[in-house]
Amino acid sequence: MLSSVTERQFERVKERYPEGTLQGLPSGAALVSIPGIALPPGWSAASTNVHFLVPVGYPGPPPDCFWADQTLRLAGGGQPQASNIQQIPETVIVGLWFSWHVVDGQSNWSPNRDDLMTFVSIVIDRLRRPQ
Amino acid sequence: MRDDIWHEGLETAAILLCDPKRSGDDWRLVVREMHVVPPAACLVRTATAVVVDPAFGLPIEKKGRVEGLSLVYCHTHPHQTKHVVFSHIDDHAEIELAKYAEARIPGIPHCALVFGSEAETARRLGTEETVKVTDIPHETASTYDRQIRAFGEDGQSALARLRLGVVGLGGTGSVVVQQLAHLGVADFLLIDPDAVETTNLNRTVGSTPKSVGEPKVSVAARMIRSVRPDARIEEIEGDVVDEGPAKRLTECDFVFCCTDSHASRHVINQLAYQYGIPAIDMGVVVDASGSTVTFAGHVKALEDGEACLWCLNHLDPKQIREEMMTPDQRKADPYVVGARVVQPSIISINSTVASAAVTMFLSMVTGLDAPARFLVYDGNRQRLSGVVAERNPTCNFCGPDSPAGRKDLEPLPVRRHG
Ligand SMILES: [Zn+2]
Ligand SMILES: [Zn+2]
Repeated sequence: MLSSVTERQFERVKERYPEGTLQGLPSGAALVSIPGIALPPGWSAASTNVHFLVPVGYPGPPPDCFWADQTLRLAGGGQPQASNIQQIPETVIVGLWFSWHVVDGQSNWSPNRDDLMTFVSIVIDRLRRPQ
Repeated sequence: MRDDIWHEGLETAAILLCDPKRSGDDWRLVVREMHVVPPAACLVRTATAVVVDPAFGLPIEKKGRVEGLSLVYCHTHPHQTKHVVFSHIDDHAEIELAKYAEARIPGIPHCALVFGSEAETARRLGTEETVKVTDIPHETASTYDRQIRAFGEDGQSALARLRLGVVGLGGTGSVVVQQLAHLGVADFLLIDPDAVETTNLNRTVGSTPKSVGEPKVSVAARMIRSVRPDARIEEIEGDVVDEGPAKRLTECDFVFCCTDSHASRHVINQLAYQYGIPAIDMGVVVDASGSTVTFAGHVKALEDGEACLWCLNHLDPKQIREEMMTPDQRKADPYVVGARVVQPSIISINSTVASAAVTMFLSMVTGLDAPARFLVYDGNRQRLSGVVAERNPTCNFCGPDSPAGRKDLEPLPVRRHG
């Protein structure tokens, strides 16, 4: 069972990314997957699938880190900073894990102001800067 | 009381003085004093009759008049067992007695009570209106006398009925349960995953050097039993961030959050609003990192209509994320900082905050006049003040679109083991 707050916030993500999915996981966490996110030049591909975990207890604790396609590289073939190949916990999906604590260490996360769309924007912002 | 006056062959008698309490259209008479009639004060005493010398009753009736107490005239029927009925003689005698009692102490009910060997029957004096007789354990009248004077019989019985959840049995929790046991709380659910360490002995009330290594819940349970041997106590050596212990907490009527883990407080905060179970969160901070020691604390009621911990920005999302991780996940995450810094802790400061929390609880449960629902303790200035807590009207945890009130329709923010 997913919390109604998570589901409601995900509806906002769907408005923007109609192909997105939200899947509950056994631990109580959930997986958000958004296929076909367009990438700017500087990456090895024109688009990637993106996944991130909605943590147990959300929206108290913020999401953290995300996964892109495991084949994604920088345009020159190099490994993006702070990334490695990793299976997404509780799933069979293997992806390129961006272990950035992308919410600036979440220190700025406020569960009564930020939502899943905030986190999607943070992911997109990271992908806008190929490095 | 039957045991106090019973005689196999002869009728005996007693006069009770009772506190009359109105509850709606009904009255409740709580026995305050019992005066057994000695054989010498009986004008007649046979197997079928007892007549008490009016001189015996006079000072008792006078006291009742002065203090506004109800009179209950009691006698026994030695020949009756379970089927106890007033006799015609009783009917007749009560008519005059009722007039007399009403004249002496008007405006409150007076009763007659007759005991058989195994049952009893009571009625409003001089009428056929029956009165229910219930037992309040003797201790309620004596042990808790001083409390009942403060918050009444109803308040005391509310305390005795409640199932209390206490999460965290360290510095503040151990003080809280000790006070609750003395107050007359009799049903506890204790949750704490930790065992007592040597460094806990300075502030875990009820612990002794022998307690090292013992679960904190067991130390607390033993202390409660030493105060209230009849208490019902369940010990859960677990973490309230896990689904199992958290679900058990939903069976409670009231919850105390005595932990410094933000994840636990997040769980209890949501549980309080989602299940409509009032809770009190408390915390103590002693900071010795600077040149001076500063210490402070807070006590916050979590209940419908009150700002929650998220409204107050009292919880740290990042810390919750880390505390919610399983040990394996934590190990795998290179960014999670290691062991937490050991914080100083002083029993008197914990006790100040714990006591303020228990008093707030009494106010919430018994109506004791202490309306503040958010208290801030400034230890250095030795000031405990009520603070206005602003609600966030769109709060995701207590607002109209939150899980508040949805009970089992929403998941609790806990780790499940799928
Ligand atoms: Zn009789
Ligand atoms: Zn709130």
